[in-house]
Formats: sequence, structure tokens, C-alpha cells
Amino acid sequence: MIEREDEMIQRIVDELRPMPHVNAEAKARLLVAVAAERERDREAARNAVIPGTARRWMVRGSALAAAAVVAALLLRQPSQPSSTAAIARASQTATTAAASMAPAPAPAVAQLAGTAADAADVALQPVQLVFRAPTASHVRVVGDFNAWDAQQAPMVHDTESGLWSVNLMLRPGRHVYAFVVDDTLWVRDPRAPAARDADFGRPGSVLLVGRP
Amino acid sequence: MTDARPLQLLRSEPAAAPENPAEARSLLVHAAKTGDVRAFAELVDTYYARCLRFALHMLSDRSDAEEAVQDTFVRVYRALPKYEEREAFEPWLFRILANRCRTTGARERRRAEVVEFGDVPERPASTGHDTAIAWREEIGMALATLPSEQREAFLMRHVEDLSYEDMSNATGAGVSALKMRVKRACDSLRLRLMEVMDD
Amino acid sequence: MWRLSVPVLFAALVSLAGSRGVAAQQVAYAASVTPELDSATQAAVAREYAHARERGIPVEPLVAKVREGQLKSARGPQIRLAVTKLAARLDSARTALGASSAPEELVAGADALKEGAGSASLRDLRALSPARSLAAPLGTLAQLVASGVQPHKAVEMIAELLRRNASSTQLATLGNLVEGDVSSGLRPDESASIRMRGIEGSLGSLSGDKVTTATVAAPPLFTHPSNPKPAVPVRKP
Repeated sequence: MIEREDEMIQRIVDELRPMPHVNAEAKARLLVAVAAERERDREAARNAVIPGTARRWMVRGSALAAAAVVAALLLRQPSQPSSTAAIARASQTATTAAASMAPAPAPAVAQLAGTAADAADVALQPVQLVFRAPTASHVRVVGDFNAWDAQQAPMVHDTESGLWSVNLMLRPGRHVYAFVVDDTLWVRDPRAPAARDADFGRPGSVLLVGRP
Repeated sequence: MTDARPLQLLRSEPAAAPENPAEARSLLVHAAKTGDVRAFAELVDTYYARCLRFALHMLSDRSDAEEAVQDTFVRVYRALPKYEEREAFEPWLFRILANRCRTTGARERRRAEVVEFGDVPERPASTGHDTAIAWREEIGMALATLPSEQREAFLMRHVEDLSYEDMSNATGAGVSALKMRVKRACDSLRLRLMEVMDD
Repeated sequence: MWRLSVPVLFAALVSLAGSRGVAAQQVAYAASVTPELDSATQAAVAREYAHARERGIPVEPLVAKVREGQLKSARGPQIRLAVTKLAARLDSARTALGASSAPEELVAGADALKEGAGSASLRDLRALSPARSLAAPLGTLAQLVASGVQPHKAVEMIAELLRRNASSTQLATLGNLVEGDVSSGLRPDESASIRMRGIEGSLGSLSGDKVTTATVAAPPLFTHPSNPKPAVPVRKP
């Protein structure tokens, strides 16, 4: 493959060619992420037969969470538990769902992303975010649209389904978000693309609003 | 993509695999395109290590590389319905992977600004190292100092064995430009590593 | 503090068949949040806020950056550095876009600079469109460049859309489509060209926003390093 006989380049290539060690857990995560995509496709297909404006909402599936998640975080209680650290003891999966599919009751609507200057120029669009965390005490969504202020967008809990949801009116464009559970746990939506984070190295999730 | 079969993450052995590896891969891609989750898992099995190798050499960080590969396969899955089977699969896969590595690479370049604040990493001394390890480290550093376009072209050509035509499909650059990138990469690597050997 | 019990966690991961990947994913995507700033960081960011006020830079984006760092459990020096760098980008954006620019324009400009657009491009776009809010156009510019579109090409596209009074929604749609295409394997510049044609085609049938944009002559565009003249010529009213 080397055009010119070049011992040095050959030595370099020999060093670079061996296959790296494959982390089985990383590969499993990959398959789960793909499976979540598949689930999203299936929900989108189901939504396609539902008439009305709900189809225009930003959608992500929730069935995978209901079907597949058994247990996620196993936590050990310390001798002096922190009052702020009552974290989940069962399944929690980040997900966004179609308004038509989500059983969560009348979530709060937060006007978050429209500045006065933009109001005349931009039609804000409704987006519903849904998050499955049956045992959480409270869940909030944070993102660039609310200046990463966890107090601004509390999610509403539906005890029957274990889903938390919030309706937002967002400016068209690219947004980055994540969920914060019980003030202590940062969770990004595993089914949305990761948003790279040059500053802190902890990605959020990408939400594209206004994509036809 | 929308059938109601239960989700399968665990693969089963294929009933009868064609003997010709290229034909087998082609069938696999076709099956994955039609929504066969097992076939997609086979594709992941087939290409995961290669993709990881490329991403590791491009990004020099395992967690970044694993994330890049994961995102790549998710994107491949999303894009498969639109994938034209006339186009070779590998260049298409590497196009997505290289795009993903480039965006992470841009982030890394910005991270590198931190170095200005006084954390200049010491070049590891060869003494006390096993020679083979020191050599590997030198290669890694030499590769990391290449402009990303040259690094990408060098890896695609010499490590991933892509033809220049496939590389052109994967990168969007012309063949002559790619040959120039590979040549410059070789020249730089040779020069730098010769210096190391002389030391 | 609650802590992950790693052996138990891994035992659980191994024992779960279909759901083990999901469990593993939880670990990968979740991390504990500790929203407290050490005193040195508090003092440093307070100085940065004060300095920003003196220079006429909006403080809110800096406060948001601190919050983001806290939520992400970043270390104090990381937060300080991120705030300092953001303040510098906002300052550059203000210089390029003008002192009377709205905060959201400066934020979008800072994002565009972060992604690799040049200050000259921001100046050119302001010159091209002095009255319109550039928040959405610059947001799309940042998105295009982050997606891999060559900065000069991305700026040309935004300039053209400004000339044609494209709405902020149309600009956002362009950015979203290109980002989606690139994720799916299309070459960034190729996608940008195709999507640009699509948006341009829709401009004939869709109404633009109520914006005031300076009408300009046809290209030449953009400042070449060797040509210090404004890259986007503005026709005087």
C-alpha cells in the first residue's frame, strides 16, 4: 500500500494498524442508542396516522423506556446522607415524546426563548420534553433556552406513568439541553445527538427546532 | 424500519454466510437497510474496531473516540434508508465518521487554548521507557501534530487501506489534493521521527 | 454524598440482558451535580462580571455560563476559564457588531466566533444589515460552521439570505437542515449548497420578515486578508 518504498513510513503504519481494544460496554451503549433510534422511528410512524397539530411537535419515543429499562443507577447510601442527594433508586430514562403519545397531564407551559427583539421576527414553536423517572422527587430541564437556570423549567409529574413533562415555546434553531433530577443528577437525553462541550467536557443533547 | 418485531440487541448466527467477504458485507448492508436489526448489529461488529481505530488516531482520546463511533453508527442507522447501494459502503461510513471526528477535533483545538495558561505538557522522555512504548508515543505525538486533513488522509490511505477514489468520496476532496495531503503527512512524519531516532 | 457502588453496578449491568445496555447508558449519560462555587472562583467571576459591565458587555451570558459549569460539576478553574473566554468573545463580537448591538446578537456573535467565523465576517454582516437583529443570522452562521461548512461559504450564504430578507425561521431551518444532513453523511458544503437553493426557492413564495436590510450591490463579498476594505459593500441610501 505504500507507494514509495519507505521503511520509516512502514514502521509507522505497522504501529498504527493493530486493532484497538474494544470496550464491550461502549459497544453495548452504541447498540442501545441505535435501538432507541429504531424505537423513535416506530413512534414516529405511529404518530403519522394521528391527525392534527400534534404531529408537528418535536417527537422522541418513550416506549423504549417503558419496555426496556429495568434498573439503572444503584446507589449506596452513605453514613451521613446528604439532604440534597436523594437520587433515583430505580429506572430513569431521558426521553422526549410526542404530545399525542405522552400521558402526562397538562404540563406547564414555559415561555422561555423569545426575547423582545425576536418576538416580531420569530414564531416560537411548541416543544414538549418528556422524561421517565418514576422515583424522582423533582425533575427540571436546563438548556441554553433558559440560561441553564434549573429553577425556570420544572417538569410536571404523572404518577401513573412515571413521566415528567414540560411544554416549552422555543425559538427555531439549535438548542442544547439536559435534565436535572432532584437537583443532583445531570442526565442528557441518550436518544438525542450529543452536543459537544468545549468548556466543561460534559455534553448535553441537541434539539433542532424548526426542522421541517 | 417500522415493523413491530421486538427489539433485538443480541445477535444470532447467520444461517448461511456467503464465502466472498465483499458479497457478505454487501448483503449485510442491504439487510440492515431494509430494517434488519440483527444485520445492523453485524455491521457494527464488522466495522466497530476499524472505526474505533480511526477515531482513536484522529482524536487521541478513548472516550471521545468511543463517543464519535457511537454517534457515527447512530447516524448511519438514521441515514441507511437514504443510502444508495450503488455507492460503496465503506467510504460512506468513513465519511460520516470523519465528519464526526472533525467536529470533535475542532473542540479539541479549542481546548488546546488552555495550554496557554501554563499547563504545557512535558514531552515524555524515552529514558526509563520501554523502547517500543517510547516509539509508539512518538508516533502518536507526530501524528497529533499533523494538520487534521493530512492526518485524516494518511490514516485513510495507509491504515484503513482506502483507495484514493474512495477517500475522495469520503472526504469530498479531489484525488490530487488527497495525494498531496498524504505526501505531506509522510514527509512530516518521516522528518519528525528521524529526528527522534537521531536523538 | 451518595455514591455509585461500582461493583454492584457492574454486576447489575452484566445480569441484565436486554436492558443492560440501557443501564450502562444511564451511567454514561448521568453524572452527579454539585452546584457550589469555591470562594476563589466566586471572587474571580465577580471580577469578570464587573469588568464586563465596565466594557458594556452583557453579564447575563456570563452568569449562564457559570450556572452551566455548576450544573456540570466543573471545577473552579474550568468555570473561571470558560467565563473569561466567553467574555473575550463577547467583547470581540461587540467590537465587530457595534456598541449598540443587542445582548442576544452579541451572544450569537460570540458563538459564531467560537465556531471559527472571523470578526471581519461579523462586521461585514452588520454593514450589510445595520437595522435588522443579527441574532438569528449569526446563530445560523455558528451552526453552519460548526457543521463543517467553510466559514467563508457560510458567511456568503447568510449575507445572501439577509439581502433577500429571509426570515429568522428560514435561516434557522437552513442551519437545522444542514446539521441534519451532515449527521447523515452528506458533505457539509454540498449540503449547504443544496439547502441554500431550497431556501432561496422558497423565498419567492414565502413572505420574509418585516426587517430593514440595506440593499446592496451584487458580490464581491467578504474581506480577504490582503484586502482591508469592507467585504460586503453597502449601498448608501
